[in-house]
Amino acid sequence: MAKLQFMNARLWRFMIESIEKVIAEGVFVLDKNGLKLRAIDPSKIMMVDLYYPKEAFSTYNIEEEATLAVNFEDIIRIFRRALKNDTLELDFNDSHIYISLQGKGIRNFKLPQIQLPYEKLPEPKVGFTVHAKMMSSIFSDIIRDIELTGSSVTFTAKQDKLYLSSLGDIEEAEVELSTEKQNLIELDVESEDSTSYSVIYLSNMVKAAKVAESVTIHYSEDAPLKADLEYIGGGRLTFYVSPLIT
Amino acid sequence: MLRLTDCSPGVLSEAVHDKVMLIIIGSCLTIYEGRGAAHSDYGDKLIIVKRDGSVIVHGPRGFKPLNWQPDTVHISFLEEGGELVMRAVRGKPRETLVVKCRETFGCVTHAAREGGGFYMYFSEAEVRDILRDNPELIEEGLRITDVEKPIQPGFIDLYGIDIEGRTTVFEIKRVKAGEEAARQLYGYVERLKRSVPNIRGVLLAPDFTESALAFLQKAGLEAKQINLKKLYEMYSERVKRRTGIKHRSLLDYLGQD
Repeated sequence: MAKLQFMNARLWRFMIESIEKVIAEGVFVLDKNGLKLRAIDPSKIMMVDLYYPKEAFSTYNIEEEATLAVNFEDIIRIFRRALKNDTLELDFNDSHIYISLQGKGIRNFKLPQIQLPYEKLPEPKVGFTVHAKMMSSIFSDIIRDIELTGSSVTFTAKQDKLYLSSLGDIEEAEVELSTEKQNLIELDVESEDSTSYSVIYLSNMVKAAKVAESVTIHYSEDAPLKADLEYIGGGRLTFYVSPLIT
Repeated sequence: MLRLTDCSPGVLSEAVHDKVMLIIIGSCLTIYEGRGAAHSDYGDKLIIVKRDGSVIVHGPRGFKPLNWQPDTVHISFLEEGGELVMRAVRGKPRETLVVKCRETFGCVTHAAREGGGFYMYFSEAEVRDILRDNPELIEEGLRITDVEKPIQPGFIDLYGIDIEGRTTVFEIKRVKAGEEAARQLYGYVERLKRSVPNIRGVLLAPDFTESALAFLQKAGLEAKQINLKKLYEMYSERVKRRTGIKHRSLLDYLGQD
């Protein structure tokens, strides 16, 4: 039996809500270093890569490497019950998962582990030329703005600015980001590249971004976009989105 | 067929033209120019050119390649100054990888066939949905009437009526099915037998263990093989049509872990 405790159940709720938009099922791997999950969506356009070090957990009792296969649609129904200030306790064995949300009351849930083989997925190999770090609230606002106009968003980098533009049937939108305007924390442009992505896939990240400390976007010409969401305790949720063919 | 070959530019060029897998081992340096620039000095290198024109260069240590080109528009081999020179050019983004070998230890060509593994990222739900929409892929005349039909303690993947009007239940596995899967199907069929006469039970999988096949035969159940590659191609086309937007696939960018 493995046991984990985490002080902020709500954080996991929002992370899982984003993951659930990408994949229906997945296998967490827990080893002496921490918890990992890496999976790709059925259309092979988006990938999630989660890592949370064991030090971030108030209890992390994993005797040997273990896998935990879950259906995210089942899990998210439980996690959505997490209230502010709830802690999360997770136990599991070969057949069942036990989730406890503890705050003003204690709510215990039990569900079966699904049978899903663990298949190790390699990381995308991409040389990124543009790196932009921003507050997670800025990222969420930008995506919500862009959603209003079109189905695709183009990232264009200039030496000290990053532009996100979208062209719909009627409306257009352009967002200008820079460290000078203080909507970016950092911007590093090795090459003034421009690449387009589907807005719907970026929207999938917004829930998880809500509880992140920062979001760093990496991309290059005609390459996948990588979004690193950093969390308290050293956790990281990375999304990859493949580019549109233009 | 695996062939040791000489490492002359003409032979290597022909191998690339014939779309066979090519492996070169030699003392080589690499020069990469594109979105960035990088080079490595002379040292023992393993160079792989795959049938689709992708190129990978490995050093003698570590699992990560030193250089790679996921796709190329041009690969050429020349002799310059007594060295074998390979030039691999990628179209978009524009990148050039040059490998210069002052000595080659050996070259191998192989007409490699496609294998499995592509279906690693294809879930059972996706397999189920494709089969639900295309029951003729299972058998002719089959009608699917229910999906994920609850039956304690689980769910029947597909429930339908065959060409002879018999109720048929299907358990789907997207990896090689073992005896446990066969027993799972048996459990569902035994439950349903109480209310549904003459019921058929079929285990669908890309492959089966000997013990699974033995159990199914003993229990009067059936095994049918499914072609995951065909299902995946159908699924990909469906997703592209639904979104109406063309994306590159992330699989094109996956490295080796």
